[in-house]
Amino acid sequence: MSELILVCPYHKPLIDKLRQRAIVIRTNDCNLIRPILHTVNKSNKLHAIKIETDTPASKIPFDDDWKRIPIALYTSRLGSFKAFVHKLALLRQLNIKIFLSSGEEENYLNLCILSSLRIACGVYFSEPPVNWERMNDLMHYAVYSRTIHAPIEPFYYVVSNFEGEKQVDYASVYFDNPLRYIHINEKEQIAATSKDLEACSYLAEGVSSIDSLETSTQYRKYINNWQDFFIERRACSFCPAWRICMGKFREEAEQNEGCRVFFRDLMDAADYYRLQFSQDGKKVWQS
Amino acid sequence: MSDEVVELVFQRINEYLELNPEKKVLFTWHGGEVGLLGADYFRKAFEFQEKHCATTKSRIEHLVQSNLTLMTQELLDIFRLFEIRQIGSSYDPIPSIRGPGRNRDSDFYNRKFFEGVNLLNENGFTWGVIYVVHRKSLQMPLDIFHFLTNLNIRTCPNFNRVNVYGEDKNNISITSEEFADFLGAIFPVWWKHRERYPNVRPFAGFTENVRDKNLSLVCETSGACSHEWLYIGPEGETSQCGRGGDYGLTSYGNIRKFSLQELLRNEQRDRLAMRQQVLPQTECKDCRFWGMCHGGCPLDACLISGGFLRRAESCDALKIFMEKYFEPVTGLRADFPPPPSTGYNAYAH
Repeated sequence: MSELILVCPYHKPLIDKLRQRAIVIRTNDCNLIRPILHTVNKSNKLHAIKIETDTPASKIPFDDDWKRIPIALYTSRLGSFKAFVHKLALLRQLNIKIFLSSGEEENYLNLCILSSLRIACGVYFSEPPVNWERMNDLMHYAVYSRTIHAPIEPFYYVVSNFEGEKQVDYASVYFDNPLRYIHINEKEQIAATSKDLEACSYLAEGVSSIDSLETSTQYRKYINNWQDFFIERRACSFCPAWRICMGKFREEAEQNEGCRVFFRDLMDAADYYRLQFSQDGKKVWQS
Repeated sequence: MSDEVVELVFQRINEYLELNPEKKVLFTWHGGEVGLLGADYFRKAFEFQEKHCATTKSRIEHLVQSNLTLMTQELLDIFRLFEIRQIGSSYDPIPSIRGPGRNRDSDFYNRKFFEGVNLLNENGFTWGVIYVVHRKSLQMPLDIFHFLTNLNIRTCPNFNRVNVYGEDKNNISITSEEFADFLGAIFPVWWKHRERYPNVRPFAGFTENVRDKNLSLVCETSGACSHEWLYIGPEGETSQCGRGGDYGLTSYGNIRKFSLQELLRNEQRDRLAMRQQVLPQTECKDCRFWGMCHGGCPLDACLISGGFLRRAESCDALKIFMEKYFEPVTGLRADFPPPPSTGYNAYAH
């Protein structure tokens, strides 16, 4: 089993306690990037910085210094394209992915534009309902388009990791797959996902519990929660796309087929990708 | 099976292997439910193997079939000593088919099943599922297929037809045509995505048969089971296989009285072998699927059709499935007629 990566806020006392551990730092303040780089790289294995901000991407003060670390920028929208386009030269030198919310209609087109400008990008799922038709169109562009374009997540993660005989959890793209990432807050409360952390649903407390977390009853139970889908015979357990979705849209799946159609198409796209392309090429941090 | 009989079984196996240095024994522990026996039982069995098969144990392979609901760490520790790394199991997503009590509490049963699965996973064991297709399955073939391939992504399921001989008290039996149609509803999806679900049986087997001319067949269709299988019951009584033992079809004598060599050479087995010469001249004469089924299970033939020298009724399922679904979907054609004159089983050799 590979080392669990800790997703934590930029909180110096906590980070001090996470010395020698792989970490992702969450912040909503772009001005903290430089101090984070200054503080963290000395004693921690900085995996990435996750910036969550309401500031449109066009207004983010991208900086030369950011070249030193993988950055996942989560913003609700792209903003002024006129302003954004002048940042392209720098952006192409950064190891950055720009994530836009699924909740804004304009973002589906903006992600196509970002990708065509060779900016690695992705969609993140905001509050339901998801517009699955738009999502499917975006996925089709991401996987099937033959024009040169940058990867769009989480589609790229799925198609480039999909193999017949294993599950692919695209939550890794969002640092939210508890087999790879766990979340910890300033109070050292530990949760399996960012949502669980927000909901105060903790697996353990204290940095000292991290090393034994994977063998703990709570963690094992959490990891095996997927089995409830099968015991309860929920719609997701009968879905052809279970192995790439694993019930992430369970409430929706009980009511309509939108997610099922989308994820089934994504699996077909993964088959297509495997046939068409080699696994070589640019590797970014999530893969 | 008492300790005394288990010990005797290992003595008999050792005698047989010493007498036949080129042979191996594949020992399948199959209930009922083997978990009911408990770890101590298997620990003793292991000691008997160590004691009596010191020089031959490398030629003994063990398999276990279990519903996993009674799996324990102690059992897995013993299975590991037997070098067992995979456990065959079964599952049914349809409620109230399996489970304890009159109403078959499948929820309780399935939770216990997953507890067993988790133990296997933690111990590095793999597991696979056999799904027995019954009357209630017929309404949802694709759902069942997806459910089972989701349930265990690494090991694909095997679809078998339910066997009901005599009165069908629970109304679960299905016809050959219904079984073929069940498989046929799944097959186009499997064929399109066979790289995702590479080893779903019987589809993968049929494909290997027809496309690759690889006629590696299971006991029922191999035409070669006659002198290779032995069922040993709780009192040491023996029969051809589980089906033969369950229905009292064949009786080769008690292992207390006969050696393994004698039991495997029992002259009643010649009747089973004889099918491979008789059927190509009679019922299976013009069948181009002969090489894929060899007349089917002889015990099935005896139970349904009334004699070992008849073809099994289950052959119809194969034939219907191949003609109605497999061949049209794949564009492949099966052509394995029986050899014309001698009845010699060319495909099995």
